[in-house]
Amino acid sequence: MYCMPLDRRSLRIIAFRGLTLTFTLIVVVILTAIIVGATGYDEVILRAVINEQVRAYREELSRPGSPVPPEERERMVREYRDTLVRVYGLDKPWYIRSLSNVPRLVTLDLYVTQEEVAGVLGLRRPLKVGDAIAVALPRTIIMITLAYVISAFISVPIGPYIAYKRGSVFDKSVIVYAAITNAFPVWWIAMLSIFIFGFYLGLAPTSYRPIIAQISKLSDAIYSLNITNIILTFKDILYYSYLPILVVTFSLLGAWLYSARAVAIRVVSEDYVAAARAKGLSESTIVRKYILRVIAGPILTFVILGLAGSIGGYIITETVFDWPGMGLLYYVAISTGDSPTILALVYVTTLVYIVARFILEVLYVILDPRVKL
Amino acid sequence: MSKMPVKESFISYIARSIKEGLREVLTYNMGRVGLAILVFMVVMSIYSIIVLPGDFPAMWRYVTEPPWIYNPRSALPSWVEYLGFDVSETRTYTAIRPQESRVIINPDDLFRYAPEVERALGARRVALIGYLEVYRVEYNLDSRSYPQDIIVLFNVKASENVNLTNIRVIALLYVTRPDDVILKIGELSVSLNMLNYMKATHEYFSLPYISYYNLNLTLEEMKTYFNIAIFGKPITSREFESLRGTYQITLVLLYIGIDPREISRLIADRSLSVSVDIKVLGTSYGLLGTDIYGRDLFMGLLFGFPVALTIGFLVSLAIVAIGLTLGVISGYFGGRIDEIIQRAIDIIANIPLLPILILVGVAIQTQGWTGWPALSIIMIILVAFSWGGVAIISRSMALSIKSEPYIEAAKALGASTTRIIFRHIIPQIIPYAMAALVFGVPSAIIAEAGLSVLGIDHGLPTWGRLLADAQANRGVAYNMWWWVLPPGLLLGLFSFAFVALGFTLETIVEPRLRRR
Repeated sequence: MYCMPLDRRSLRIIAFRGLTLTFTLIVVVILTAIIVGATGYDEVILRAVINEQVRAYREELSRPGSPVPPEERERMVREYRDTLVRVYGLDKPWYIRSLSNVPRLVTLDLYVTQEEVAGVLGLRRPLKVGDAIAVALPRTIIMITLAYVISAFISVPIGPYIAYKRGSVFDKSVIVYAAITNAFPVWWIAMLSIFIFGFYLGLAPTSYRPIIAQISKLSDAIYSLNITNIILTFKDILYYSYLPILVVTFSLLGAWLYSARAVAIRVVSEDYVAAARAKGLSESTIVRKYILRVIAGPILTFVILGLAGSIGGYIITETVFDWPGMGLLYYVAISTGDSPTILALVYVTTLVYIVARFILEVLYVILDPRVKL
Repeated sequence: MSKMPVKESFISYIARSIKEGLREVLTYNMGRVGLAILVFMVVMSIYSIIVLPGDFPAMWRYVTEPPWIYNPRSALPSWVEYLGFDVSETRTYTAIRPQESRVIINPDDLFRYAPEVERALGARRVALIGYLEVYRVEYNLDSRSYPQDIIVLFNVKASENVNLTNIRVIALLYVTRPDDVILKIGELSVSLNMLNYMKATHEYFSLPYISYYNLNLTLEEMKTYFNIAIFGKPITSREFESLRGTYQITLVLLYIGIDPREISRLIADRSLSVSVDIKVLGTSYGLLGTDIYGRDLFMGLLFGFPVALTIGFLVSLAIVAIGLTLGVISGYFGGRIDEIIQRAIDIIANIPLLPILILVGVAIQTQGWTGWPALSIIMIILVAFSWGGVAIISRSMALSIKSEPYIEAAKALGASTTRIIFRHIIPQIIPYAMAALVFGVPSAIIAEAGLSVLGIDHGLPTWGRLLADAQANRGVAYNMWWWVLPPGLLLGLFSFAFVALGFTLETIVEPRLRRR
């Protein structure tokens, strides 16, 4: 891939993009604080936090051998609760409270309140939301990255080929395929594939819950360096995960092929390709040296920008497949009403998205020096 | 697209553009397909508004209430029979006439006119007198699958001078099987004002049935599989096979409590009328089957049509209107206001929509809002974060049009800013805006569907909501293709129609895209 050294102008562009994105993140956090505060939603969260702490305090006081006499306990618990109410600002209006709560959100200093939420990740409470996300996020990224790599390996070499055969049956079927994957939501294709491959053909599992246990088994095996166990559990995980990865690849591939085709069509009609052909270079050399090299960059940015916008589709797909990543975490948190987890997920998803955008902007500037502000 | 003549109002120009655009759309294959689907959607929406009751969303929500409890559960569409699926049909015998209706003074007459009472398995002879009605219907079973239930619905109407609480009804339900075994499957003894519905139960035939066929089954098993016992014949002491042939279902109603001749008179002069529906719940139902609660999926899908079109168009229209306005302002006036709008676009373009929508959806849920208000808030958020793209296009067009010589000329002739914007700039952007409008229609309903599947419940039975219900019951629902397939197909068809129309419009307004 061609790469230009970063000059001052490029750095300025990158710095500017970074500034915009940081500002965007701040806006999202403020927006979140407003939505959460104005709807009285944070009160629910804070009451849960306070109840949790009061419960722990009461337990500590009533432990056998506690020096506090029983008649004193109730009063102390009450006082403790009042202190907490003041500390968390439940006695103040929401706009003041929301502001003071922003740091807690930003540092993910919140606790999962529902056992079920920790359960889907194969963990137990007490659990910090930050730790839960640290477990879930890589799993999501692994699934999507795998699908990405497969799509890239298929579509980048095929793109120029489709461009050559423009108007052929193959070309048309690629367009139809792209139209279908564009029209139908990925998560619906996932539901359908569970019916077809799971229930009807019996080639894939019909329930994906066991994957949660398998993944924790794998991490245990890796931790204890038991090679046989690693291979065995890896095989099981593959059994549960090949359909999700296939489905995501299936729907990604439509967009990849379509954009590879669009970019390649532009490139194959360029003069330098005609010149290369006139020089008598073989078609495979032309494709490899004159076309693939040029189209790789644009396709990458094109599709990743599209992904950044549609990451939500994969959150929902995960829910359908019970893949224990961010999506399932969202689903269980919403269905059990675990507000701190939902809040933290919104914040982290935004953060990931914005960081991804930033990396892309940088890549974009590096790959194509003509990018202007 | 034609140029705007000098003496034509803005509105009539838009109307004419739409008319001409439509004519041109029809010259493209893609356009024809898209338009045909759109017309289909509109027709279905109108049909839906006419057919479905006003409180349908509430009706859909209460899964343990009529009419759903009178439907078979998890039933396939009835047309699958013609594809070779082995299903038993659901039949409703509406407002049937009694075969016998007479005053019984001598107890023996009861057994003469309703012999099932005496001949049923394990029947005891009881002496009863009163006013007798006997209803009989026939059901033909030609399937390996067992019908799920038999239900009788009563509709009692009486003029005001009839005191219904004084009249009691003994309702007895029998099945005469093809093998001539008669089973008593229901009994009810209530005053007439309480007469509502009855369903088949195992209680009255279990013990004689077990001993008659010499079965090795517990009463608990009989209770669970009463429908198999009714519609099947034992092949071993524990296994069954469906018994094909014609079943006769007999409902015996005996009115007691007051003089039977008095009841006969009341019924004859229509001061009292009891209408009876008998339903045999098979394993297939209606056009699109039912879900695990017995809800008619066709009705649910039907409700989705007007919702999809309404929220799709409203959201897209709002996005285009805001984007166009801000884009033109930004491009035409420039300066500080341009800078503000551009930075705002930068920000909203970088905010991931789904997390925000999830947050808002959950907040709405915590507040307990449901139905249209909840959906409207989701739509507003969708609009607030989606106008950036249209604004960018409008701005760049406004910028290039602004520097055209004829704008200079118009200014020199003293044209006001409003006139320049509405006469010269917006009319040129409108065709592009139309394409953007059409492209944007599916986004709202797709976003709504995604939110629903993630567990945010706004309480309206949209296509997404149907899929969300399937998701919530994924262990069984993903095996029910008639539950998962149609809503998704409609979602896809809906997006496809607008993408096809959008492509066509784009080709029309941007001649460079035309092939050859």
